[in-house]
Parts: sequence; structure tokens; C-alpha cells
Amino acid sequence: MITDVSERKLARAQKQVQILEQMIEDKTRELFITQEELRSAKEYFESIIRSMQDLLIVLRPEGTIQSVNERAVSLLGYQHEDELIGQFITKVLNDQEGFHELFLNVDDLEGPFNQRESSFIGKAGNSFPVLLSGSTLRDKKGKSCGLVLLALDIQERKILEQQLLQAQKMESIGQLAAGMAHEINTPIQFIGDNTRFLQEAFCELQPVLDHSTTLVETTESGSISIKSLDGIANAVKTADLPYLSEEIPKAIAQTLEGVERVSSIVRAMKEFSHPGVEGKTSADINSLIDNTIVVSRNEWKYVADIKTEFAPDLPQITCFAGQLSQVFLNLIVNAAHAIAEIVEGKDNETGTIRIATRIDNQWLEISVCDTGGGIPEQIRDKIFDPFFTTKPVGTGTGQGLALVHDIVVEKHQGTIVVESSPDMGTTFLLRLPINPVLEDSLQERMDTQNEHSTAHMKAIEV
Amino acid sequence: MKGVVFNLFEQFISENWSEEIYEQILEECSLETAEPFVGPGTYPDADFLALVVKATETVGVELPVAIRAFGKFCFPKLAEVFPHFVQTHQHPKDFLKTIDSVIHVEVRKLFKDAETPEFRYEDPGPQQLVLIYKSPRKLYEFAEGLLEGVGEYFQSPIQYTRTVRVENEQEVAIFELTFSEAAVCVS
Repeated sequence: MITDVSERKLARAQKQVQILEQMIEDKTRELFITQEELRSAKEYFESIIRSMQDLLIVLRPEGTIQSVNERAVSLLGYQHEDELIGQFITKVLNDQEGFHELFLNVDDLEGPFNQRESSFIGKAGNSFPVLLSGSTLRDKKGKSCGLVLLALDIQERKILEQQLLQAQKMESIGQLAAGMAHEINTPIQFIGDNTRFLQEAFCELQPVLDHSTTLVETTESGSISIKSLDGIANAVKTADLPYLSEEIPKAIAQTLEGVERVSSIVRAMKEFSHPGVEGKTSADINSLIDNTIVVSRNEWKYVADIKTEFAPDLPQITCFAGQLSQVFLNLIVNAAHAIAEIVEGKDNETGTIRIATRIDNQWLEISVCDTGGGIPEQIRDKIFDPFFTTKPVGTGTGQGLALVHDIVVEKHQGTIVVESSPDMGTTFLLRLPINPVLEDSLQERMDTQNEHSTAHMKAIEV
Repeated sequence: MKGVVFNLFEQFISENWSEEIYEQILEECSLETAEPFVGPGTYPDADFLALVVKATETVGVELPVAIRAFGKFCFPKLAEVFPHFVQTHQHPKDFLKTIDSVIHVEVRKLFKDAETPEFRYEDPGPQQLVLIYKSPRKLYEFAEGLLEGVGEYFQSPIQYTRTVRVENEQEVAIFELTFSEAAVCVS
């Protein structure tokens, strides 16, 4: 039987207040702990981002910078992140590689992109190379809400690459040295022979000069003696002046020609081995090929003739000239070796290496054709792989064509098409963009790259 | 089950019968919970069931009838405490479609241990709605009472039928609702 309902309700209400107060305390404590955990987690992630040696940049969908890590701020030469936040990424990213379109279409970005070479521009206007990776930032519903860019500073790597390329070039020069010594030795020999002939000729002419001097002196004193006239006549007779008059000019001409040959070889070698500048420079491709033909002459002259068909109106292009010389050398030496395999053991038989240059719209084309035995079908898809070689142990490193691919495709955004058959030999067709910085040519290049990839496959299938 | 339901049940008994009756029910019930129920607290479902069963015995009402009546009683009370969930809608259909996506989300924000039922919807026509209810508590009559409360609140009676089926080895109730022609659905 309930006796005092109000009393019981009151007691219950008082207890409820106590419980609710305890709940509020518990919730407050829980909230505090959660906030502490959140703060701790935030600090933890911030310290990870702070300690990152890579540049981290988060972009909003429209391409403006939402946040950057300290490393990015410092490497780009800024004092504070506020100087970068809100700016378009193009303020710091060199847009030559065409990333701009990606930033404007993050929704269309199919998955992340990894390690694409690009460069950043510092506050002072300095440019430095980076390997750029990016992925779309998505919200809980999967809608894109930005782009996360991670960039690895590769300045030091670039310097090492430069040094490696130079080392590879010096290695090539070392391998060519014996041949070049031979090339220089031939003109040096006939320069020596002619100089010795001139020395002897001068000895023979010396008496004629001496007697002529005496005759001039006696004539000036007013007394010409028969003896002095006889002396000249004998000296002229002994010296065989008609012979010397004919041979001395020839010897001088041949000597000068020899000196010019040596000079051209040395000049070509000097230009070929020049370490070059760090960035791209304007260069004449015809001239680079000419120099390479000269320095490699001993590699091909016993097995092939080189025929060149250079476009006379070829414009200078912006490129890594030293690296392209290395490309031409590798292709010429490979062509010579391919021909050597065919003509070996056949007397007086040689092949032909044709090197041509031409303009095709916005592209500069260089073709290197040989009359060798072609590339066997089963290895055609491997020829650009690093360390792949068919040459005997000790004669090939497998770096030649890998380097060609790296320099033409990666460094110059060019293309390579290889056509090969046992009957026709092998043709390497290189295409380099004449004006690589033009945005318009970018899309065309991509289209052409696709076309050429298809063509490449077709060519390989022949 | 959340304490707010226990508190509402106390109000339901007190207002429809008397405070003395509720005290009697409480005293005669053997509950796992010793302390008074408070709104934010979470209590065993068995305690609620024990109270409801004892109440039906005490006041002489059948269990399904009592639970349905309790549901109908709860809705206006809840709407009074949480008006912003209800007042933004002109039509019961619009409101009902927010139960799972808005109201239960907010409940879980406040009470992380809340075990809210799951609602799915099918929308066959402007004056119709199929509401698929899934909960291990199977409080179908309570849901029906709430639907009746919703209809009264919006002054637009809701006709409903209930069928039960098994989905993935779990029982679900399908409420096919028909709204009054007079009400204009804005969704």
C-alpha cells in the first residue's frame, strides 16, 4: 500500500538530480579527456608533418593552396605559411609539365599520380627540381575536396645524375680514345714527314741564300766578282730549285691540311666531352651530330660509311646538348656494331649508316639507319631495359639504349620509334619538341606520343 | 533503453491513471536497476518490459494495446522536448523520412551507447510511404503508436498496415502508410 507518494517522488527526484549531476561531471571529464586526446593526436600528426623532409601541399579544388608544411615553406624561401596559403599553386609550381590542367580537374583525376618530374619556383625566382606525387582528397561521401601534393626535393639527385652522365660520357671518350689517337696519328705522321722534308729543303736552300746575301753585299760595294756568281750558280744547281719550288708548297698545304684534321678532331672531342651547363641551352643538332661522327670515326670507318642528310634550315632547339651528343654516339656505335656483325670476314665489304635530320611541324626528327642485321624479334621489347645487352661479357654494359630512352623521352619529352627487320637493318627515329615550353604543343605531344606508341607497336610487329 | 522512455512511461501511467498506480507498479516490479531512471541513462530492456507487463496487469489493459497507447502518448511529449526536429516539416511523410538520417543520428551524437532501431524507406507515391523497421526489440506496437501520434500532431491521420518478414535471418516489420489526401506533401 502506497502511503506517501509525494514523499517518494521527491526522494526519487532528488536522487535523479544527484545522478544527473554525476553524469554531467562524467561527461565533462570525458569531454576533457577527449579534447586532450584530440590535442595530443593533432600535435602528433603535426610533428610528423613537421619532421617530413618532403614538401607537403594541400590544394583546394580550384587549385589554391590550403595548407603547406614547414619544409615546403622553408625550401620555397618563404618566412611563413601565410605567404603561400590562398595563392594559386602555379605561383610555386613550374607549369611546364602541364599539371595545371590536373589541378583544374581534380574530379577527373583517375587515381593518384606518382613521382612525376617537375620543378618548383622559390620566392627568389630560383627553380629547383622535384618528384611530384599527388592524390585527390575526398570527403566522407567520396566527393573530391582538394588535392594532396607530395614533392621530393631532387636537387642533389640531379647533381649526381649530371655527374653520372658526365662520367658515362667520359667512359665513352675513354673507349673512343684509342680510335681517336689513331685518327690523330695519321695526319700527325704526314705532318711530321712534310716538316722533315721542309727542314731538309731549307738545308738545301741555305747555301743559295748565303751566296745571294754575299752577292747583294758585293754589288752594293760596287764590285761584282765572278766568284760570287759561280757560288750562286753552284748552290742553285746543288739545291735542285725546280724540284723544291714544286714540292715545298705541296708539303706546306698537306701540313696545313693535317693540322686542320687534328684540330677538328680535338675540337670535336672537346665539345663532346664538355660537361655542359646544368640546364637546357640552345643548340644546333646538326653540329652536335657532326662532332659525334668525328669523335666516333674509328668506331665505324672500317665497317661502314656514314651518309648525312641534314635539313639546312634546322632551328636551334633548347636541349641538354651534352646528353644528346651521348645519344647520337650510342646510336652510331650500335649501328656500327650491327653492321660489323654482317660484314665481318668479308673483304672490302662495308655497310652504310644514314643520319638525317628534318622538321615535322613542331618536332625535330633525327633518324639513324643502319644496314645491319636488325634486332631479333624476341628481344625488341627489351632493348631499352637497363642492363639488357646482347654484346659479349665485358663489351657492353646494357646502359646505352636505356640512356638514350632516358635522355630523349624523360629529359626532353621526346619520342623514339624503332623499326627493324633482318633485310632492312634498323632505324631509330627520334623526335624532339622544337619548343617544349609551349602549352599548345603539350596536348599535341601527348596525342603524337599516343600515335607514335601505336606506330611503335606496329613497327615492332613488322 | 534510454531513461527518457522510462520517464515518459511514468508520465503515461500518472496522467492516464494516477501517480499512486505508478508507485504501486514500481514497488511491485523486480527491476535490475536500483536507482531512479534519468533521461540520459541507459537501462536494461528487461526493466522496461517488466514495468509494462506489471502495468497491464495492474490497470487491466492488454499488452499490445498498452504499448501502442504509450507510443501515441510519447510522440507529442518528444515533439515538445525536441521541437526543432518536427516543426521544420509541413507533412508527416517529410518528417518520417528524417527519422533515420537526422533524428537517430542526433541521438547517437548525444548518447554514443544508444541502440536506435533501423528504418528504411520506399516511396511508392505522393500520399504513400513504406517504412521498414528493424530492431531486436521488435516494438512494433510502440512504432504504430508513434505513427498515430505523428498523424495527430500534423493533423493528418495516417492509415497503416503492418506485415512482418525475415531479412537476413532477422525479423523486420513493413509498415505501409497512406496519408490523408488533404495533406500536401512538399517532398
